[in-house]
Amino acid sequence: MSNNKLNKTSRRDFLKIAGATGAVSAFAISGCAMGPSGTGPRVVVVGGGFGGSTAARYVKKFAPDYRVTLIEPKTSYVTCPFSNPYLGGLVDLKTITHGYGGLSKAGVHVVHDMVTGLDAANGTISLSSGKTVEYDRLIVSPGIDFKWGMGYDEAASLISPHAWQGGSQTVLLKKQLEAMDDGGTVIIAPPGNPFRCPPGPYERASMIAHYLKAHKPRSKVLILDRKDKFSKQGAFMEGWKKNYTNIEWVKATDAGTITSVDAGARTISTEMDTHKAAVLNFIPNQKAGKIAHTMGLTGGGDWCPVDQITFESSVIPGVHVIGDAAVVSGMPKSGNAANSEAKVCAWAVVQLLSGASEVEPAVTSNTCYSLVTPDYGISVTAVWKATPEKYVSQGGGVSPADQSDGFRKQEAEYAHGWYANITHDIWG
Amino acid sequence: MRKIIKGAVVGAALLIAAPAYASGDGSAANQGNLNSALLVSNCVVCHGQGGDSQGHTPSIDGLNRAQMLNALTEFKSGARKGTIMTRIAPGYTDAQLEAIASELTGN
Ligand SMILES: Cc1cc2nc3c(=O)[nH]c(=O)nc-3n(C[C@H](O)[C@H](O)[C@H](O)COP(=O)(O)OP(=O)(O)OC[C@H]3O[C@@H](n4cnc5c(N)ncnc54)[C@H](O)[C@@H]3O)c2cc1C
Ligand code: HEC
Repeated sequence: MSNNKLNKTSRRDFLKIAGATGAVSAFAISGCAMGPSGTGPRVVVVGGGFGGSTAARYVKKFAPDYRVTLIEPKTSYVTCPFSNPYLGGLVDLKTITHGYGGLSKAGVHVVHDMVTGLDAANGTISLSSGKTVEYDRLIVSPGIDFKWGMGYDEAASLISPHAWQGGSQTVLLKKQLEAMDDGGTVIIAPPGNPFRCPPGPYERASMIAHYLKAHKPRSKVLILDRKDKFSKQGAFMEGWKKNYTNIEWVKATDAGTITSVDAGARTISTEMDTHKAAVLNFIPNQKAGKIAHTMGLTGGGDWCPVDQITFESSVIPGVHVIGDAAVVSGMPKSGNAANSEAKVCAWAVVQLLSGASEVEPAVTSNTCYSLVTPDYGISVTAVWKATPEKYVSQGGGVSPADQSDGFRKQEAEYAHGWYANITHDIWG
Repeated sequence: MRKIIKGAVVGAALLIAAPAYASGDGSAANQGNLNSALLVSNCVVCHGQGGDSQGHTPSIDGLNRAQMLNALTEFKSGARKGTIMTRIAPGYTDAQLEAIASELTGN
């Protein structure tokens, strides 16, 4: 526990200089009305999603005097979590949309701009407005980008949405579900590993099946997978068997390799067959968000390698990467994981900026709830200990099989509870 | 170089906040609870900040330390049933559960 010792030393130092620091602090706050409040080191966070917003808030919480700036182009953020229940008609768009007022109130300086580049040698980043922002440590949480191909690109996604980023894509998919004639097939083509939210495509299938069952009873969901197994498979299958006759899952081996996607015609071809959809939801394979590549944080690969204990980039010192973009061995790419990684990273950043030579490995966790029906929830949870190589599971597991309707209903309610609390933790 | 100089400033910065954060709410200034600040940050995503739940998950801000620790220990052993705490509690050592109970109840 070298950290303790260090901070104790700091406390003595502080007592000596307390009077003087007070004066400096008052001056700095009044002198920088347009910048972040505080007099401490400058931590700059890129991306106001699950990871970035949490990191900004928790650095400020762990070290209230730090100057924390969050840079995010959007003025409101629509979550992917609970976007499937939105497709199913369980929650409205407002429920899954969050502003940045709560973070401002918590003392985070929120700047709505796009980060365009990194100058690590000088400790600055550039913004699309032309401004430059200095940092002492940078935390980057840009989420994902897509590996376009097989005829499916960004333009195609405006015709047949992937809806794997929140907002307009999700809304477009919902409109298409509402507009489709009864009797059609909704095709979901989940991505190959690794991808954002491993149970997501199967929760989506469930929520769309729920909508179709009520509104378009002759329609069905066909899942053409690029994998032979998936997250919480047993629990999903048990739930589908109990609740739906309109979901068909075809594993990769049986579906055949996908060779082309035609967003306009709404067809998807494999080496064996061409499938025609009424609504086509092709979800491309993924890689770290664009800015991570621009900054050089991927080291030429798809994702950003990081120190597993501090989340500091293995490529560029002084820059930390969290959330979907980072390689975090043992943890899934989820919003809850991004939130957890952000807390661990915020802690590490404060320790390192306080002069600690070593950061104690954290014990952290993740839970992914999924709704099979409005009254049938399932979950997977884990508690991990960080080690230099990977996050080692200490406990957790998937919802047990063969439970009562009451048990499933409770988990469905707790899923809503999780959503309310994690979004309040981040943006509240 | 810059970082080392900053380190000295930070020590002071952290401690400026100490009086306001004296009772274990997650500030780094709270020396005795370094790790527990992170441990309890795992719980707030379901139970709310300070244990004040915003939704269907139970609030846990009304429990005293003994009740909290008892609930966690029973979830861990399986003596108490639940939908998910029976999977979560075994992930923590007994010492960690003690630290969590202290941090959450402030004693
Ligand atoms: C359908 C679906 C359902 C899901 N359900 C769940 C769930 O139930 N539970 C769960 O835990 N997870 C769920 N997820 C996963 C979750 O959405 C992601 O894991 C999470 O958003 C990752 O957080 P992040 O911070 O890495 O990225 P994001 O949340 O995507 O945030 C990235 C942010 O960075 C910003 N950004 C990008 N580039 C720049 C730039 N150059 N400059 C400034 N800002 C930039 C973006 O605007 C964005 O706001 C789901 C995902 C999907 C698709
Ligand atoms: C994924 C959501 C989730 C997380 C994370 C979580 N809990 Fe729980 N907790 C629940 C749910 C749901 C219940 C109700 C019992 C059940 O179904 O398991 C509960 C019940 C409890 C109770 C009993 C409350 C009472 O009134 O009797 C305590 C105490 C508790 N949790 C403490 C914690 C602590 C401490 C942590 C962090 C280490 C934690 N929980 C993490 C979801 C969660």
